[in-house]
Amino acid sequence: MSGNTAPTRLPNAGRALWPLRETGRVLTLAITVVRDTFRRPFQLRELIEQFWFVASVSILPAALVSIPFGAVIALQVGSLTQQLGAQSFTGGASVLAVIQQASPLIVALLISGAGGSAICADLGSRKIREELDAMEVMGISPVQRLVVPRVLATMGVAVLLNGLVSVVGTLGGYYFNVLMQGGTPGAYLQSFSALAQLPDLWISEVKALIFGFIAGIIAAYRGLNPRGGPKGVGDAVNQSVVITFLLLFLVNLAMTMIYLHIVPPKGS
Amino acid sequence: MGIEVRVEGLTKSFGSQKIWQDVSLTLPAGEVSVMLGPSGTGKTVFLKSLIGLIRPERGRVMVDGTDMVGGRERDIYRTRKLFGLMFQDGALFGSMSLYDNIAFPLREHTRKSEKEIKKIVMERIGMVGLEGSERKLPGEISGGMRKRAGLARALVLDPQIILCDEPDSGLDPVRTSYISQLLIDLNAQIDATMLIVTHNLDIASTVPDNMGMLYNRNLVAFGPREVLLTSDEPVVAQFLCGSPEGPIGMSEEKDQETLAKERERAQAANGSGGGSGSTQRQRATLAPQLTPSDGLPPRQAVNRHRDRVRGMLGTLPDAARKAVLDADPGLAGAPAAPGGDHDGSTMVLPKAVTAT
Repeated sequence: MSGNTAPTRLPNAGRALWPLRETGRVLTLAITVVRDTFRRPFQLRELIEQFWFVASVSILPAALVSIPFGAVIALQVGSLTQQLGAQSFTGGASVLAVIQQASPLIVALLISGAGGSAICADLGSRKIREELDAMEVMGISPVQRLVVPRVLATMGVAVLLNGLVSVVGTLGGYYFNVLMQGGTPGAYLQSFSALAQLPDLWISEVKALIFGFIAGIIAAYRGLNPRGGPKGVGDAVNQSVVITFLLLFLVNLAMTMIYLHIVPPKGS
Repeated sequence: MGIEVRVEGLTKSFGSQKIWQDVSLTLPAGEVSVMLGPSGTGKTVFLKSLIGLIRPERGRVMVDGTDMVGGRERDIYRTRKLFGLMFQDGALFGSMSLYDNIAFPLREHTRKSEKEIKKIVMERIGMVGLEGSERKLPGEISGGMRKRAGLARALVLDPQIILCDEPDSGLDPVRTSYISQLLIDLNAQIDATMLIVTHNLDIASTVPDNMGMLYNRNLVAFGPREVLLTSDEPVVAQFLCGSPEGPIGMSEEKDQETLAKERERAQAANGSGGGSGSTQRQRATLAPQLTPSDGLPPRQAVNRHRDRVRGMLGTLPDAARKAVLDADPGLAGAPAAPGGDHDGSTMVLPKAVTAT
């Protein structure tokens, strides 16, 4: 009888521990990726190809999203500051919101949605076609050969794209504030330099880097572990995007709290 | 010469489902072995365990001093370069042409110039008969060609151990014979240890030096091919006949009741003098083993196998011993003392399998 109870109890325990186990596996993959980044031979060709791919699918949507996003923030902040009688600070407030919050998030969402989903689908279909097994059999680590270049590509594109989105978003905000709400260019720029400081840009880029890493790792992890054949790949892509979104907002919250704690606002 | 693969007490389960347990055998260096078994008995899982793609819970797989189950990751990756694995579906990289696929291991693991790579790749492409298709993508060729391309890729690093996962699946009988001949020719040319996982009886009866069978979570038997081909063990006999009558059922082993009914039917059919009862099926018999094509060197494994069998002649079942001696009367004068130069673990005699 004791032989019968063991197998029935184990799956239940397994189900309860499932989230922990998944988290552990994702972390293991993340550590392996970091370690294999420094292992020879470095896959430069694959990195360039992936970089180009991720950039090409995310540049245009990122630019297109960032103009209305910058505008919305400018309009909202503009009307609020008008009510409060602090209209001259509109520029600084909306630029900070765009650079610190909106830009890294837009970048990460687009990289995860456009690049990450493609990476996940690519790795997933390779997995079920046994291509990854074939690679391992040849003594080549798929993590080092395929995942590392992809994660580095999402990180690199995220950082560069973050610059683009910040500029486009700021210009969009400026345009709408000055031309639509009757703000003055001088007040906009002056409040900008009065409130914003260089660390705001740094934290924005650091966020983009970390979000790119998360998007790459989650996409790769779900792609490497599809469940149940070809349909599992579709599910994995879906899950990778959803999980990435959830994680991004949580990590963003944590990073914003830490940043506000350790970097004092300018002028205080 | 190939490398010996020693499997000790291997047990694998997925969740609570046990795939097989306590599998111990030795693939003798340079010889061709076949692992038989009904569909779904974990033959592919066994193959992947040998190379470390799947990690069994217990046991060891010793290859060249490395344990492919519990060894260090780095050692396993190094030892894998001694292997060539031919996947069931070829497992070619879909985005690369056949040429690039076959050149891939060379480009990754060697510092050869493109010229040298081209020479090796074209030679292997010729070996598997794919001349003229090297610029095609895997999606543009038939399943049989993909298989052969997969084999060519597995061969490109001159492996010491070649594992073939169902080389016959999806091939017509003629192409299957070509593959059989190709495998024997390969063995003659590079003298690698080979394990073929299959349920094709033609391959089983003509290609291997040694044969094993997995059934019902156990290794039923492993030893010189004569041992299985002459065995009267119901599971082995049924499988070699390809008959529905016997302990192997459609999905799993049959239960006692079905078996009893079957026996009654068989007796009734015998009593009425055969008649419309069960059709008599041809059992895979002890066909002569394939020899290398003309112009190739003889297989060195043949002599080693002969010596090994000579050493274990005394321990073979009577039918197997008779078959061995019929095929090779020269062995008769040999000392029949067991334990010559073989160790007992290379053979598992056919045994009845009880449900666990």
